[in-house]
Amino acid sequence: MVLDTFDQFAADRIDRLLRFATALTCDPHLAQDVVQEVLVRVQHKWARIGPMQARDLYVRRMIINEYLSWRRRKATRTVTASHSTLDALGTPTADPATGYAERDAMRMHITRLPRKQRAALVLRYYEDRTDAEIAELLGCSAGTVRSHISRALSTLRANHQHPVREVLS
Amino acid sequence: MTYDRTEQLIRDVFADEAAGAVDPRQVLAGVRGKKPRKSYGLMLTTAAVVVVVAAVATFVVPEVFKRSSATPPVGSERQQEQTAAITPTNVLVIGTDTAGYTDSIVLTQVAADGSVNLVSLPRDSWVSSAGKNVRLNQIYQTAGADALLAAVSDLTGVTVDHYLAVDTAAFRDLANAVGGVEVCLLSATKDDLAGANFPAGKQTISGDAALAFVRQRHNLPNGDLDRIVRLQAFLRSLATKLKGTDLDKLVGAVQGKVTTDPNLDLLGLAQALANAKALHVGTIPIGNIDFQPAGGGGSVIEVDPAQVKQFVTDLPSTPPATGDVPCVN
Repeated sequence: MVLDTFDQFAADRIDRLLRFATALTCDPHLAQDVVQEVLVRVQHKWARIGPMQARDLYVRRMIINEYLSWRRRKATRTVTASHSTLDALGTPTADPATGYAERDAMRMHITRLPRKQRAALVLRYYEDRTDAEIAELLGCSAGTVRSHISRALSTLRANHQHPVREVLS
Repeated sequence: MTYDRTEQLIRDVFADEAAGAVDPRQVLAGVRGKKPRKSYGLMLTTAAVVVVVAAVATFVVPEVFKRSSATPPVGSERQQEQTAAITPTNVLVIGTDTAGYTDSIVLTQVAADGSVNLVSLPRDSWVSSAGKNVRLNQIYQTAGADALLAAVSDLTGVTVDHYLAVDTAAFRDLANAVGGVEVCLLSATKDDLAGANFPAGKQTISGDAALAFVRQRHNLPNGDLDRIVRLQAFLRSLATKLKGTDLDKLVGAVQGKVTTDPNLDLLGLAQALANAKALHVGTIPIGNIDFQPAGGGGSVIEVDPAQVKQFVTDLPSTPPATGDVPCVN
């Protein structure tokens, strides 16, 4: 394989990285900051990262760490953009199997989850990754990944049973 | 297949969020604009520039010369002329939704005798990629086009040289460009989410209806597997319509909505499809469609690489698709 340049790498990956970071942060602008910050660092260390076998995994891990530490710094930050805002920003032409109101409520419950649980959910349900891969990305054991996901699911399921009360509270 | 509403909601929420990402160009500009923090960064940039210049000199320049010397004469006869010398080509056509998921994956083989094979690979196929087992539709998004080409080459035994990634929304323009595509449904069907509302029987669809036809997977007896059959029926009808179409214009209409490897000849591919001597269409053989891998992550479809290779080898000698419009779910 011919070694590609950072510019080629960035141009090829940026779209997917941004989408991933946006799903992770539930905030397109925070996602932009996170991805930009990480890519500047990748560019800086390209001589080392470029030839790495698992560099895609490595860069994703950088993004997750950046997100986790960002959240720590801005612990009180709240995510308020609702669907109407996001619809105005992006083109919502995915292929959803569920209704808007229901998804909006679910989105709110997801943004309230502890950050590691949320990161685990994004890796499982957005990137379709296995427990082992998620464990590698989050730097924990597969058992911890399973517990993150099962806790997140039981919280979301419980809230999903009482959507109206939760939305209005 | 198992269906869990909470999990489906979570998937849809993340897909929605991802679709709201900012313009990548904006972020790239921000990265390039930032000065490296240490001085050896400058050396790195210089090195990168040297590598790019060398790459351009080595690959792009000869390619441009080759292309300009090989440019066919402008004129209406050129479509026919092109069929004289056919270069066998294998192209992976990747249909993506807005979130970047590869919903449809079709291996398109143009054979030396001018026949064309279309092999559908279900998106939930459980395949090997870089030594690990993964869901087929996760490779493009997480590891890129090259990794997907490698995985499909391994699975099918066919060396795939090119790819063509197309936003499924482009089917709207494709159907319009050929003046509508004829399809046939076994029964009336409706799916608000895909915007589908079709009566039973033969009908000519274009625009949003064409998009809904290739996207609908809910309220169908076999979900995504029915969607695959629909796409095949759509592509068969589309191929018959391509014969009378201005392909330059068609390629122009979709060019902005596709991503390809640098060497794919899009017009050549459209011509090969339009002038196909025979069209063979099929889906790779599948095993258990509700296989639960040990690592979790929901059900996937088992495929046997040996059976897949046999199928791909045998497909060209099966009876070709006729001009009839098959009725589908």
